[in-house]
Amino acid sequence: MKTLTLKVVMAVLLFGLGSSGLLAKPPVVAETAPLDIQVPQFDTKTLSNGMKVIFLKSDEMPLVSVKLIVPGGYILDPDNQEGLVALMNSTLRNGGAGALSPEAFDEALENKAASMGASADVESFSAEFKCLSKDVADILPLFADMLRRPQFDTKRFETNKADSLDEINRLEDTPDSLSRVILNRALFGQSPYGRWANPKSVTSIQRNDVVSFYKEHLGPTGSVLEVTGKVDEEKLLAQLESLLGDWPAQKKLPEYADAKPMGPTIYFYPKNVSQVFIRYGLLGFKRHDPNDFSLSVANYILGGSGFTSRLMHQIRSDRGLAYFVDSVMIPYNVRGIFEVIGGTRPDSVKEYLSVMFQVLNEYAKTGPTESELKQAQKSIVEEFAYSFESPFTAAARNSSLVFNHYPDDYLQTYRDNIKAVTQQQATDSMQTILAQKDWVLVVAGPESLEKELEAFGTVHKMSSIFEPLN
Amino acid sequence: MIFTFKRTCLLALAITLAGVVHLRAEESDKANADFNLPVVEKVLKNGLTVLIVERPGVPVVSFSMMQPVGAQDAPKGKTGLPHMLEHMMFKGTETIGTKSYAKEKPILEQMDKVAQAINDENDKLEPSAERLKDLSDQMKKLTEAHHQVVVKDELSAIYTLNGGQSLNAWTSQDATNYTVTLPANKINLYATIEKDRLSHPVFREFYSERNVVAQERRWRTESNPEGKLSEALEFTAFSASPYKDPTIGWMSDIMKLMRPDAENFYHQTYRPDQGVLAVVGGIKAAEILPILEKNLGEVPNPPVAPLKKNWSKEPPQEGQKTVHVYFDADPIVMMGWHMPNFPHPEGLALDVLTNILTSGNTSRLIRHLLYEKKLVTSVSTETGFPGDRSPNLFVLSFTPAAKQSVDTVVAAIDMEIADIRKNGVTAEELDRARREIESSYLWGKTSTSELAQDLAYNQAVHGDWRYVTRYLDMVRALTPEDIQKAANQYLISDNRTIAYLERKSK
Repeated sequence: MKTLTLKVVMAVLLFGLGSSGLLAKPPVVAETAPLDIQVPQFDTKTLSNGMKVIFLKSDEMPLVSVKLIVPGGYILDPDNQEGLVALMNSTLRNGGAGALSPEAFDEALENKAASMGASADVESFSAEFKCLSKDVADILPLFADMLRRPQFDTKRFETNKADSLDEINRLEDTPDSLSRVILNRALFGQSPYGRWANPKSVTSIQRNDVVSFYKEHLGPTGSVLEVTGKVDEEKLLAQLESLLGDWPAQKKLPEYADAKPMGPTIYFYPKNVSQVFIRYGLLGFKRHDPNDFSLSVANYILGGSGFTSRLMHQIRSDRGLAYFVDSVMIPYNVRGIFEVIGGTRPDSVKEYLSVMFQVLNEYAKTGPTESELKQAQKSIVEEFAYSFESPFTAAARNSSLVFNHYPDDYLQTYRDNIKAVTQQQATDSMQTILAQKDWVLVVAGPESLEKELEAFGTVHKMSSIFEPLN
Repeated sequence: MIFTFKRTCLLALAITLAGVVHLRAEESDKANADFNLPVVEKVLKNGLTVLIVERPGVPVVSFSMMQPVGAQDAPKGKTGLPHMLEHMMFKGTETIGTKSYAKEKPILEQMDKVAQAINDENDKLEPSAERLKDLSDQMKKLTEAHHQVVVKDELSAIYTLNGGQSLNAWTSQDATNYTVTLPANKINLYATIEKDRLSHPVFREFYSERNVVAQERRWRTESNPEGKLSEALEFTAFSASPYKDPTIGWMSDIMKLMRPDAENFYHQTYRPDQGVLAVVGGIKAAEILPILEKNLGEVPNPPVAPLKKNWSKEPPQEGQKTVHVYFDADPIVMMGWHMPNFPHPEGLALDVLTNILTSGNTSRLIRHLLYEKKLVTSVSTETGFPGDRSPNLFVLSFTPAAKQSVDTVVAAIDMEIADIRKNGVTAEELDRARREIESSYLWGKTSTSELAQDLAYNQAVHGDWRYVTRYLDMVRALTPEDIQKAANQYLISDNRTIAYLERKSK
């Protein structure tokens, strides 16, 4: 690994000194030897139905964490039954399994202080448990029961459905959550990526729908199981084989096309609050995009690095216009999200937006400076250590890479790939994102803002986050 | 940056080890080894307490620097000053964050004068709009001049450039905490920067940061139903305790805070001899202690006596209080009962009761109110609200299920509480809570940053980091009768405040 030094820091400090006659001496920090980070040895096995099992053994603590990731996720929500995936997950966990009633299942877990859950992301389902090492052989069969023999208890289903409806109704309570829904719906338009549960769709979901969806979509194909902590690997693998090795394959997943955003449009949701929430969204990049490293570095500089980012400087530090402003990039198997998120007071919305657009336009034109790029690369390379804070964090990062088909040496070569990004690449790749014409801007704030927003584009006023967008 | 209400953390914090009341003998030794927490403790020459946990092989090191100074220490009329100070600690030093402090200093002093003049004018019965406009123009010019000499966010940039993660801070009612996690070989960097930060801080950009904090208040409290409701619970439940004022401060106070206020407060209250630094990660205590001694051990204590903590005591509540908060959102209810703070034994008993009531699907309220009666869509309990250093509140929050009246839910909760007061909890329930507490302690130990924060918090607020494990001992010694007794003493309606969030009827 290349030697990392503190030269850049020193230079900045010296610059501070050089321009004045100061009495105080600046702190001087000696260079540190480069940190040799060993990527842990993951042990990958395959069950007879093809499911991958990745072990990371660590005897430091008497704990075990097991996590399964299955391809699928919210994009599989059926038309007019948006919310089904979430409801399936909550009832999978809470609805009893195997021979155990919901109450007995809960007790079996909680008597051993084990936690178990089932959840979903946009493109995956996941199920996991955590327990003490001594209990793992007892908890694993419960986990397998949940995955393979869930009861979807009718009463629990009804309770979970009522909870889902309540949660959906509360989305309009805060400008943060309501604007998140609108942005996703508008940015991904008619694509399954833009689906969002609404009161009508959830009301229509019946227990049978959940059961048949579960049967079709949960299975071992493309799934990754991660086992971390203090375990007897051989014994556990044999137990996994007997519990999950004959789990039959699930239905093949459809392929999706990139979404078509419903922009350029400003979606305005009147809400009487003293802090306006603002989200600006564009399509981001796809996993395995040849520019993914360039884009990550470029976004880090723009708005992904907290206090040192351009957006934070211009909007918060220089002008006090926001408490927070970030830009995030989330890749999917199709083009994902690029989003700038922030908030400001009602009387400074215009200034906030002007500054935000100015920063984005300038960045699209000229990209990062050489020094911004170098600093960002150094930061990201140094931050790499953070993934290995504990075996559990390391395993989580690794299994997500394996699940998403990144190359085997991804972690080993990660730092070199970050360092190889050039100024030109960062500029060009970011330009392709920022130059897109069909942007979506979502503003949630007082009614009076509507007129002001017209200066920035066509305003589409909304009265419900669930109403049709065009 | 970043203030948190700091509750979840406080709870997680009160966690610890030992009496082995419930463990069988053959298990106890092995279990104790797992619960063991080898902490190297050293007091530096200026009195700073350093707590170190070595984690061989971990490539990072987490720092938690805590001062037992929080929102409740704010001078009258200056609520939010401790939190504002926390923000200012990221603004740099006489050499970090500036091109020339010599050029900068007079500009900052000039800004203070203009800010004071604005405050004075606003305090008049009839402020002159003309005068205010003139002052505001002066402030703008000074801000522009200051831009020429400032180096933006340089302190953060140095840490970020060196792989710093979780560079952050929070202020609670009781304490202020500064955190960062760095690659394990950056001890020198940390010690050097922090020495400078504590010895020569410069609170530049104070008046623009005041606007940032105001934005934070709007976002966190005023535009957030839960933020608004918990603030109302605080100011209704407490009438004398300093916990009655919000940690972030009242808007009118925030907008009048002055840089000299922050400087005075800093010099009076941030003292190495009261502070704690916890360090957890892939380091060796013997190697890093000399570095910490040489740098942080050199930070002087202010030449004044430590601030004497002498807060008003909350008188006993003599009847139930209620408060209604109007907001465009579905209903939420928070109720709080006054209770003694940890490590008071009854505070502990009520803390464990929160596990029995609302932790997991088998807990009483989740099972009865959510699954069986379907009265709520969520229900939770916590102790230590809004702080841990003074007597505080046992808080129960719920969101009613659709079509359920809030009063029906409150009546059902009253029945549950009455049952505990009359019949107590079972040994089985207590046992399950104990196992859960032990397990979350072990999981908490896997995170370097979480453990560093737990150690620093217990040392700074409770006076001894050993409460991290002593808590477990205390839980093991607890009996169902202890919980019943505490419930009977504190969970009574005269001692309760109920805060309702609801839509204003048109």
